[in-house]
Amino acid sequence: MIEVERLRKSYGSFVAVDDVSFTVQPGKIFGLLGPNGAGKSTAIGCISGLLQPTEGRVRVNGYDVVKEGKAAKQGLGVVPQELSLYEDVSATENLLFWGAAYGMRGSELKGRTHDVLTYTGLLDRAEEPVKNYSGGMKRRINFGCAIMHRPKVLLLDEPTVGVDPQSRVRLFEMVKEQVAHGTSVLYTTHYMQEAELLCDELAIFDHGKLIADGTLEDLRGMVGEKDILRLAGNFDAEKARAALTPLPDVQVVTAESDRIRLSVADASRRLPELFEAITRAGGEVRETTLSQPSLETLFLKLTGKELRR
Amino acid sequence: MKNAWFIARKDLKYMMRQWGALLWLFVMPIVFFYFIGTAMGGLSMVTGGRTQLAIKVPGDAGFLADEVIRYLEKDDFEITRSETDLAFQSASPRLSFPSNFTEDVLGGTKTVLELTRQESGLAKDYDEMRARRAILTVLAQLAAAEKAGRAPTPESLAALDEVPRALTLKAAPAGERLEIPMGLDQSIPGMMVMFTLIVLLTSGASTLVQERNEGLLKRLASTPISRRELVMGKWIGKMILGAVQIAFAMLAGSVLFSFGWGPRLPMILLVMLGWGALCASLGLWLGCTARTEAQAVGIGVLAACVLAALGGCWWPIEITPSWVQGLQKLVPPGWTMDALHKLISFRAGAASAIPHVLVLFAATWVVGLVAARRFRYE
Ligand SMILES: Nc1ncnc2c1ncn2[C@@H]1O[C@H](COP(=O)(O)OP(=O)(O)OP(=O)(O)O)[C@@H](O)[C@H]1O
Ligand SMILES: [Mg+2]
Repeated sequence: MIEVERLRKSYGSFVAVDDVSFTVQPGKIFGLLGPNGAGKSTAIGCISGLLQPTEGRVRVNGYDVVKEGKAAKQGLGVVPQELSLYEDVSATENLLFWGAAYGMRGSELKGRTHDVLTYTGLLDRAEEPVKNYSGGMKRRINFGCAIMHRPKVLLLDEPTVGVDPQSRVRLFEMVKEQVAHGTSVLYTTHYMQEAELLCDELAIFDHGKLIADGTLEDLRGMVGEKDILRLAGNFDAEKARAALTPLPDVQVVTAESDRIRLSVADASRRLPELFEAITRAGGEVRETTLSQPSLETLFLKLTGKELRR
Repeated sequence: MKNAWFIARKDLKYMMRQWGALLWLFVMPIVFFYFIGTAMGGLSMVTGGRTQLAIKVPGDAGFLADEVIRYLEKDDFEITRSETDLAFQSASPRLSFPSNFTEDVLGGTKTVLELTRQESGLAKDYDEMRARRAILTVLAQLAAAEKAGRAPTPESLAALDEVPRALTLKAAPAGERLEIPMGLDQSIPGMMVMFTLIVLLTSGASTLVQERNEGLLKRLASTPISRRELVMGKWIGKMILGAVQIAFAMLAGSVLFSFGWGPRLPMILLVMLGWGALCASLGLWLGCTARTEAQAVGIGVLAACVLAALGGCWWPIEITPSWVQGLQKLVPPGWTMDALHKLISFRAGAASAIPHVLVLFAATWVVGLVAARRFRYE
């Protein structure tokens, strides 16, 4: 179980994580969804004990990460965003190392190494140096190193970056199996589909702040029935914004030079009305794109930003 | 402590995996022992305490030749009479007496003894000085015999030798031995000191930089191994690497070059332990400071070579101008070399190196603390 209470982490005057609170229950996957630089890795760093929180409190399995570091870390597995492996030595050596770093020794360590190699599907190449592995294989062994000591809490920082579809599926399966054994998982990603597929609960993260959180259903509800409509053409963004804002049930999400994004209920029926408003403002619409409500649209609505890099 | 030990073992293992480290550890020291040793005046004079001297004495050289030889032996020459002319011609150093040596000397005819040595340099000067001393002593005996009104015979000269001298010259550096360490006496301790520093400043530092840049230290931060244990483990790993280097260099010196470490061996080991510890701290500090592996290796090699030169690892500091000798006292390899020369070459008492050992361990502590404070996970 992970409990984060009013966590804040600043670098000088820059606040990377700002007053964030959430709880991850045993056997649940909690997704942290946010664009580059949102503060996801910083939050993970504070939970794993790498970074000293500026304010607030983090507890892992009931132990305070700052005050009871050893006990907290013993029950914690971390899959870092960057591959962190001894590239010159084999997968077996890596697993032995990280297992031993958590105090495992002897036959327990050897047996567990064999199990994890089998589990990650790397048994047949276990003795090769890791630097010869493909990106997906490296991600799998990176994951394997984190579960050697059977942690009750698992932090995954964008574990699927640069991974082939097969390895991705295998990683998802492995995460789900861990959860089935009662592990609490914190999963950061900037892929919306991953979050929708995997997570029981989600938090949307931007500029260091949690701007929305809840179950998938909660968040879908927040999107409501509104569609996202993108208009492009020859118009002045600010004039168009002024013309559209007074219309009922229309919300301007972003407006920049000659394109504008709107959140509109039942958008297809209201297109003529919207076009007319823009024409009156002296513009002309050349292109329209309509998207169905999804987490992606919620994210867009909340942050005014696309999620993907 | 269990965790620190675990980190130390793994650290050592990963450092030893680099072939570059193995080359520095086990090959280069031997190469440098040999080349620096031979470049500096030959192996022969140094391996034993006594210098071999080949002599050729014609049958009619007479009893004064025996007198000269007697004084040469007193002055630490080991005299060998070559069986053949060819053997004599290839020996170095060699001394040949002319025919009618005794007759000519007593009759006042000018005669010439020929001393030949292949190598030049201090060793040659030293041989020459001792040969001259033997000849002058014999001449002085003759003069004394004449003054006493005795005929110069082997018996009268032997009797004079018993008489106590009013004035004798005893030239000796501090300690029992006369020689400034040259050849292997200089190169084996000197290169051992330098290579310990090089290995720990390059391999020792660069592996730490690499682990930081590859995110491994960051990942270690999320394990139950504390920062203290991690830093301690890294230091111990480097310390063991240094000990391996020192043990290998000392063994190679003894076995391959029949180098004698002398009666102060335990104190020599203590000095080297202090030196290894200080090098481990310096390597840790460079590893905590350098940003890239190339930077660590570059700074490491450069710093090690400059410090080694100033510290008197390349050549005996005793032959340099006094301002260079002053600089030696400022650099850590200098403290170590000074102690080693005292213990090995000048056969000074073990206590003479106690200040050096204390300074080495104090510096280890200070540099280690500074390094630990600089240590960053990322
Ligand atoms: N050591 C540091 N000093 C100053 N600023 C930092 C430091 N580390 C991170 N930041 C800043 O904090 C913000 C959050 O970074 P973080 O790595 O947590 O983002 P992220 O959500 O993980 O992004 P990504 O998806 O790219 O991994 C960024 O703006 C980053 O520049
Ligand atoms: Mg990140």
